[in-house]
Amino acid sequence: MKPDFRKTMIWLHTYSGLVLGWLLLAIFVTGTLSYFNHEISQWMKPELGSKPVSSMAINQSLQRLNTDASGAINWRINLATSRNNHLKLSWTMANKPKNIRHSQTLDSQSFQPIEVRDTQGGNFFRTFHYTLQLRDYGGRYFAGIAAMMMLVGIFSGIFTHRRFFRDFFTVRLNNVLKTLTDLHAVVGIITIPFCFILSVSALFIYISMYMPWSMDHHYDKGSRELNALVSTSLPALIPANIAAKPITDFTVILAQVQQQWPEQNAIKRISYELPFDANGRIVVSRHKSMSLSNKTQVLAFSSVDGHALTGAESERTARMLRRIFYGLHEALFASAGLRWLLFFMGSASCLLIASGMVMWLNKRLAKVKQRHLGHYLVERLNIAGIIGLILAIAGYFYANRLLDFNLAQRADAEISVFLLTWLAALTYSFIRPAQRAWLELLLITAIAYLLLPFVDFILNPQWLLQAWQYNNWVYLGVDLALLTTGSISLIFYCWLRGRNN
Amino acid sequence: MLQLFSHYQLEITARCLAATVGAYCFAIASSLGMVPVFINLFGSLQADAVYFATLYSYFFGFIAIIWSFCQRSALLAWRDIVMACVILMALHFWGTI
Amino acid sequence: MILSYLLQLVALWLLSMAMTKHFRHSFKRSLSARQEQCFSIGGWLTLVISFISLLSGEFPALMGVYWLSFLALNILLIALFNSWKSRKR
Repeated sequence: MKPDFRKTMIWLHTYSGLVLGWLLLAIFVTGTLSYFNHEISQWMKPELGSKPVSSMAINQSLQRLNTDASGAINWRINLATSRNNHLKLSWTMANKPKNIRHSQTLDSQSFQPIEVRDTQGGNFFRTFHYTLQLRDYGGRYFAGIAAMMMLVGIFSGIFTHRRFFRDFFTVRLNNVLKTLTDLHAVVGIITIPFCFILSVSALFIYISMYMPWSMDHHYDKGSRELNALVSTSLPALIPANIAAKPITDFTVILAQVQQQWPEQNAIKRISYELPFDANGRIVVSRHKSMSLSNKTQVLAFSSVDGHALTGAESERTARMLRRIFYGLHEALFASAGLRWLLFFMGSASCLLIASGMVMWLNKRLAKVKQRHLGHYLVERLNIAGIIGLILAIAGYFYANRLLDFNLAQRADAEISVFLLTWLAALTYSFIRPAQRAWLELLLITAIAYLLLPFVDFILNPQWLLQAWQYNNWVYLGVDLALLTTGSISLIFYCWLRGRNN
Repeated sequence: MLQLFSHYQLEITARCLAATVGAYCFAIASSLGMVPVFINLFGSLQADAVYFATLYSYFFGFIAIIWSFCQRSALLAWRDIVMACVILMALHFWGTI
Repeated sequence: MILSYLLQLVALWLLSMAMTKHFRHSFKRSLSARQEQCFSIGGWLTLVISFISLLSGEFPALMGVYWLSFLALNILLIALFNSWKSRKR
């Protein structure tokens, strides 16, 4: 091999991209969608409705817990947010031999229990982007390898596209392949910090899986013991074994909480630990809108009279470093505007990877006279990996709307539809000529996305009308995003067809 | 010509192995070997040192990947990685004494 | 925040104007060494000001994330703007 550093980097960039490009693309597309995890979940659970949550929510929930969950060993209220209208109660009954967990979703205004369709919602994209639906078969290791490959790709890419830095970002528009190269470079540059932080934090999140050696060597119980040493949490709760009644009027505590956390809607979750014990405790968790770290800030109160208890101390630097990277990865701190910016950068990264894969193929096809098997494979996998994935996501949404409400294991069935659509796109790309396959799949995708909001409307007009009535921009936003995706696919289809003729 | 081709393939395979197996071993060695460094240089607690060393081990692994493709030949790349591993493991054993 | 965003946009435009090629496309004359210096110094200075103005307020770490996100968007805008200029020529 040539010893020249830059040439080495170009070689490395070319082949590291090729080896894991499709995997990275799938991870980035689903990961980008998980920025809108809660919003997508809201759309996929239309039964939640769009009515604004009243300020009575906490006290009403506590009353319901007091009647429905009397004698439970813990209560939990997940409050609705501006991103997701899901008010959920859950509690655990102490039953021997196994504790049983119950949960209930309440209507946001009448506070009556409602039935919500069984779906993973946006959470599916979040889990898929690191487990690849292969949790028990090493999916997270593949994702880790992909993250390392991304870092190599970024580093070598900086040297490969050196010209672009010197020219200060000129996109040459005279030649399609050159435009593609420059577009690849420009989105590459703007996403350097984004991709870097995402890849590094992805590796940091699973240190106990990817790099367990040092902790296993130093500690008998490995990562668990190490984490216990560096993390801080609330002191363990010792039951007094004296029966007591929990407070169900939250206003006393709310006033104390507002002093500590001045922002509006600071509370994400309220948990009662041992509500029917004299030593019972209320733990109030804060939304992560104010700090980068993924450590949830909590306040503790007595569940009998509501006086404040000692909280957790702040954590050690090493833990905080990882917490911050974790927090940056999840971006739960992001307000709507920043969330869109992050989504934009995520989409740019997807474009970066996809354009890289297309470039690899086109540069080689332009040079060689005789295609061999490798070219054929890359060509087909490009089709299935890029457009097939987008189509599969549409399939997932359709499954959410069209599958029967009472179907057994409905959530799993939705995911099966996702995977089967993808498989179908792959098969299709192999049986059709490449150009035709691109065009036809693009057209199908465009139609699928454009029709989806109408299908939603026909199934139950009430969902959309109510969202419109109460200005639920989460629901409307997802519909608009679907229409936009469809339009972009359609524009791309027309452009590609025009170029082929 | 055939000679040259197979030599090229061997070279690539050796480098790829260095970048995967070698780099991972190097990262493990660094996650062990940097612990005494953190404890003695920066006065960290052992738990912190282990945590930091593990986090930074990715950095070492990354360097090894780049190095295994940039060094003049695959053999030299392997030599460097093995040597660096030996040094880090020596640090580790020095820490355990 | 909006001010800092706009300052950043201006800074990047100034920096891009310090390049001979972009300058020629935008102003239809060639760039003197003196002008180049002015543009690049002015550009870097504005960039630093936008950075400081955003981070001097509350939550500097969070604002750092904002600043980097703005940077991504703005570079893309400037690149597209310059390409569009050069195509019109």
